[in-house]
Amino acid sequence: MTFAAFSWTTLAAIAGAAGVGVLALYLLRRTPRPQLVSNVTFWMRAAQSSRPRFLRAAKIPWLAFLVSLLVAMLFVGEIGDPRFGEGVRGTTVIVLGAGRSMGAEDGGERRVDRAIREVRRWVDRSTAGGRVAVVRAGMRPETLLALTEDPADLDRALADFELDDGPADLRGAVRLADRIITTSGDPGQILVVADRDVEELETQATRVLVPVGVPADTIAIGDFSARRDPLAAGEYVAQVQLRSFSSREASARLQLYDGDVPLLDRRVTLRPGSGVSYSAQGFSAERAELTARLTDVEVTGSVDALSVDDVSYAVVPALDPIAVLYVSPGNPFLEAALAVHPNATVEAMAPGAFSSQSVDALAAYDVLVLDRTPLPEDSEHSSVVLFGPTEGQLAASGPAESPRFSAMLGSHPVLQGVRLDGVRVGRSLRFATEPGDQVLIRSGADALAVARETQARRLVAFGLDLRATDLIQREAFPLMVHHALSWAAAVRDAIPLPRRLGEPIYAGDQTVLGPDDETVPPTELAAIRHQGIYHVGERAEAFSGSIHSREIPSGASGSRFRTSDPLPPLAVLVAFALLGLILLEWTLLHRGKLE
Amino acid sequence: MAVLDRAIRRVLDRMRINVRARATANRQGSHRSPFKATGVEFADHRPYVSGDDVRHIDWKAFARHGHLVIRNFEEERDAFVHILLDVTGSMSRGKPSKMEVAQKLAASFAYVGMRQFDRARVVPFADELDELPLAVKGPQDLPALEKLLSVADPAGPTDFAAAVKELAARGAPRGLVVVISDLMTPEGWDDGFRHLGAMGHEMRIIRVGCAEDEKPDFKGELELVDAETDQRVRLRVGDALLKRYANEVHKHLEGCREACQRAGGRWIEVDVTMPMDAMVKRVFGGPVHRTAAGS
Repeated sequence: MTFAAFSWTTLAAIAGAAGVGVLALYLLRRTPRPQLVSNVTFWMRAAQSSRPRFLRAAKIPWLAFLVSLLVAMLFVGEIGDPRFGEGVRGTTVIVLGAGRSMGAEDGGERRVDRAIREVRRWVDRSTAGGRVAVVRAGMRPETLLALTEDPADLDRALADFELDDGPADLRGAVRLADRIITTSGDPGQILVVADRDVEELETQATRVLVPVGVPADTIAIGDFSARRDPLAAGEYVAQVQLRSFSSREASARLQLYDGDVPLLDRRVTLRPGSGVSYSAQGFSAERAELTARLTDVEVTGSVDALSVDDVSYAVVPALDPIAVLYVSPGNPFLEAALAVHPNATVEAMAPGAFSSQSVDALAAYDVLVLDRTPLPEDSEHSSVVLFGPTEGQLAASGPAESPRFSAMLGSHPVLQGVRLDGVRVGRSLRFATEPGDQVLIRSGADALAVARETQARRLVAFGLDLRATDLIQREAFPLMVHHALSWAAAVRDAIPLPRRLGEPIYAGDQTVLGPDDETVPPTELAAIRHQGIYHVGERAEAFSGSIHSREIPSGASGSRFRTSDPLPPLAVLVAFALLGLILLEWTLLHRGKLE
Repeated sequence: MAVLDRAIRRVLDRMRINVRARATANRQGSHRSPFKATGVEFADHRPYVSGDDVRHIDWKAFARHGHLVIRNFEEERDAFVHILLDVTGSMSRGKPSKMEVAQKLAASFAYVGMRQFDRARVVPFADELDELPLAVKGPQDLPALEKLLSVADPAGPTDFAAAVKELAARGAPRGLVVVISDLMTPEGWDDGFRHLGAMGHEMRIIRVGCAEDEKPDFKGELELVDAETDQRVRLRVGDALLKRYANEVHKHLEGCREACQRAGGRWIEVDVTMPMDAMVKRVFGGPVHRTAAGS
């Protein structure tokens, strides 16, 4: 057994002082007060006739003194905060959970609010005989309050206590607390005030859990992502997954917004423990900032305890602009297919004018689209798309009449999602391939479309004579043209990877605006703690906590302090003993048993 | 008279001290005496002998019987009233103090005795008897009585037997002895009462009590100081001791009462908290309605 509040020497000194006090009070109580009476003889006779028959009765004043002394000693012991075990005196480091689940409401009160109450109470007690530090167990553990003996310091530290939208790193926080105690040089304890325990973690200091929270239900957005549709130029698809972490049926209103534009608004019902996914499409060449939100959540016989998992964010980046030089003697189908590309700026040019263009002038374009127009021999342009090239180019091996498509390279980005079944071709040029060429369309052994990628150039060549095929009338044609432009221009269909909370934002010298359009301090950029869409110059990054959605830790109800010892806290036992002794003394002193 | 206010005196005017005939004195007064002589109360007839006063011959009886007979009358005499006032230390206890009540009772007896022409005197006693003062025979003696009472300061131990012996030694004439005391001394009362009875006195023992003597309410670690002897006793007083003490006092008072009755005395108990008029009625035995026999 140890005492948390005082050292043994201090406690002994207090006990000695208390003993002296009790002795003084006893002597004072034993000092009689004078009382004038008519005749003492009658009193003496009465005293002789009522002389105690038992020895213990005669010793009751002494017994009362001993009881008083014992009460005083127990009281001193209670002040000393007795504990089972060892090492709980001196420094107390409180690990305060700051993860998203601490925002769950239990009976109308957030777990963090109750946890802060517990912390204040412990600090008030612990600072009576030692020092206290508080570690904030958020996504990245940090010292919220350095070692102090003043409870007022805690008020300042907890004044603006906020939770992270991500999970708490309790293990890291406990390790930090253990290091604080170890470096302090005093024996101490770690007090974990959170809604879950840290198991299988060895610490040098004694660890005590003050659990908060009771089992709770929540409906969460478990995943939310969006990317552009590779099969539909300019379109994007948002995918949202809902999860029920409840044993009851629940329903909610799911809303998806692109800024202020609604993409999806429907009522969904979730069976206990089930998950369901929904998708929505949008169209915009510009950047799309998407928000998925659950509102009007209803859980049968319960409530949605956690609100932070009811919202999630995603960003679809804008399409990169492409400058296209379209050189053709005239092909309305090809012109229309180029116009479909939502982010392409197409400039048409006659073949005659094209031959007089300088290299520098052509370098201003991202892609050259040449229809039945030869590519100059000295051209060094890096991105070229050829339709119906003249013989000789790409070492063509001559035309083929009415070829049939026998194979196509569907895995190549140019033909991704393109279906060419039943396409009729009246005439096509056959290409002589070189090592490294990828044959996109093959008719037997003949290569009718080739993709060539060298260190300096990307070139796509279609040998089809667009005037003698029905491909241009099919849906596949504009998609194929779009893919050809994108591949040739090396436009990367960036898949916006979701950013995890706790990751940094690399902003350089740029200002970062947070979800509320407030400037984010540079010190917080190293680890983003709140979900939302952050803007860095022209860039937008979505931080979403949906990836952390999981069942809410139930903490523990019942006793406030859960220790490894099955006995009640020693302080409680001492308090009961005190109460019993006080009652005993009251009985002795005030029931007329002392004469 | 400061001791007795006007209201009490009005009550006392209706009171009377009755003294048994054998305790009367030798002067004419208002009490019946065993002597036959001139008076107003007819007693009996006796044969006429030579030398009798012819004025006492009952001529109507002579006419009827032919014998000369003399009419006898009861002689009414006064009485000595000795008021023994306890002025020991214990009389200072109580609220109001027993001494204060006892002084009023002593003055009451003296006042009533004066009004019926008895010779009443207040004699303070403690462990010995004070000087016998002059009897109160008329209103002119009341200031002296009041002065005597006012200087009576309760102090010293009680020795009632010694006081009685001293009373006898000083030749106090036979009469009514009124003892006003708290009787809060365990010894001496039995002997005193017996001596008084043997001396032919009629006794009235007026015991003045207070709650502090009979049912005290103080508890705890106490040093009890004797109001008479300054003797100190240290006790832890509790409910049980208080009960024992009450029993002891009750037993003592019962013994005194029995001793009083054995000596032919009359036992009267009053409490300091009683109203004065009720107390007076109790000690004098109620108001006396004036009759032909009364004065």
